[in-house]
Amino acid sequence: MYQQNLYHPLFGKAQSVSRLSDGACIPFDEANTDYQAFKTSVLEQQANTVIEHDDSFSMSSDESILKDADGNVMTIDQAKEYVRTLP
Amino acid sequence: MAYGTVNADVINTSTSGGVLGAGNASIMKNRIINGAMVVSQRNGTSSVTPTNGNGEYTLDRWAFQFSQASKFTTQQNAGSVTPPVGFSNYLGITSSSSYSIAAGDYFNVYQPIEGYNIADLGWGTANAKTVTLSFWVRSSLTGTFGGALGNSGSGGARSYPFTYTISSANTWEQKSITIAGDTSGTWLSTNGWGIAVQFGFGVGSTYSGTAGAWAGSLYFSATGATSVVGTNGATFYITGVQLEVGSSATGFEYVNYQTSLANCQRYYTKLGVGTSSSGIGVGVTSLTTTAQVVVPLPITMRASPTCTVSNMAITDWQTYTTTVTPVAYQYACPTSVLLAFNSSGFVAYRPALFVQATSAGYTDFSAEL
Repeated sequence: MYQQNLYHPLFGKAQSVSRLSDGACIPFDEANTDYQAFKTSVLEQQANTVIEHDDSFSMSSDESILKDADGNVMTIDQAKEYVRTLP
Repeated sequence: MAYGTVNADVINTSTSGGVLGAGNASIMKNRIINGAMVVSQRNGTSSVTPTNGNGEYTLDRWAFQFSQASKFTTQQNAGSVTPPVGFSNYLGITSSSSYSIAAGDYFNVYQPIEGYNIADLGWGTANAKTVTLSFWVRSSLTGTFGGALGNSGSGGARSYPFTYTISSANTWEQKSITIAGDTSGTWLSTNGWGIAVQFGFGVGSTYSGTAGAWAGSLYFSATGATSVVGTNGATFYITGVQLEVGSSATGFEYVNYQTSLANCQRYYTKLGVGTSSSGIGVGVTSLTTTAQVVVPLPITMRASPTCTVSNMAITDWQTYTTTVTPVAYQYACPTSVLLAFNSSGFVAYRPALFVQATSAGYTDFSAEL
């Protein structure tokens, strides 16, 4: 799971994203392999992914692996659209 | 007063047949970084069970790829055996079970070499240079073992599987493999993935190829190689890894510690491994809830690095001290990083010293391949 970062008004738009599993802050640098993995993960998500909760039921969802800066889970389409704006 | 003139095309060395200059230098010949397994910033000498099968670095510049979790542990100087003469350290792998590998399984340790450091080899052209891979290896098992050289796979996979034989159990043996340079394929000469040197210790048929020939496939080892993870408690130790231009192995290139560390820090830097309150950056609080600090990096990194913080604090030593984690956002380049932290404990418009909150505190920066 990833989350968009806030940004400082003096420095311009956000230049990093956080990986929530370990708190790593990943810069938007195309040579950074963590950044490459982030973009690939978001862009390869499929809509209506089946999420197995336990043996008793499963559900479909279009929730993505990306949260916005306020902590709200983005839809897969929203997440892909955001990533396509990145370098 | 006339100055003298020295005419020398080559300078002989103590290594038989070795000369300085003329393309056979005995310094900076090894394309492998930390081939003597000396630098271990992440884990020191602790044993670890890697969890990220897509490429988890343990000793600096040495990463593991694996398809099944918890089948092995790795440790600098595992088992505390005496290294080969001239070496102080080695990378150790110990099997945690008797796992029967399936066709699609793979367990391998590898080092990706940055494209800048292999650009002169001319791979992918008609002028591709021959290289020789040499290393010291020791295992509790005997038989045929395997590995491979390859590219990143993007733009078309290229691999050269190789084999070597370990004749005596629990005995250090030196091996060398000479490989004609690949005249095909895409081999990056930038800050991207150039050549990866892979050592398999359990690779199924999908990722194993015929030894001794270039192939347009992704291989991590050679067909028929021994599986270390197939025997519970089996060991595989390696050190003195060298990849050099030429058709024969020469003596291992000695690199002093500070140079090895600096070479590794281009890809991974861990700051703040001193005592509590050691500082690694300075900045300012802009609000009671936000502070920014700048951390200069000791070496220009391969790319803008990913940053992780553990047990760090921000303080002015007068009015506030606040433990911080994680990073709220960053603005990074390969030479320095600006980190921002959100917390409720700052005092606005005060100096911000970025220090270790405990002796275990650190901030690390990764720009690995």
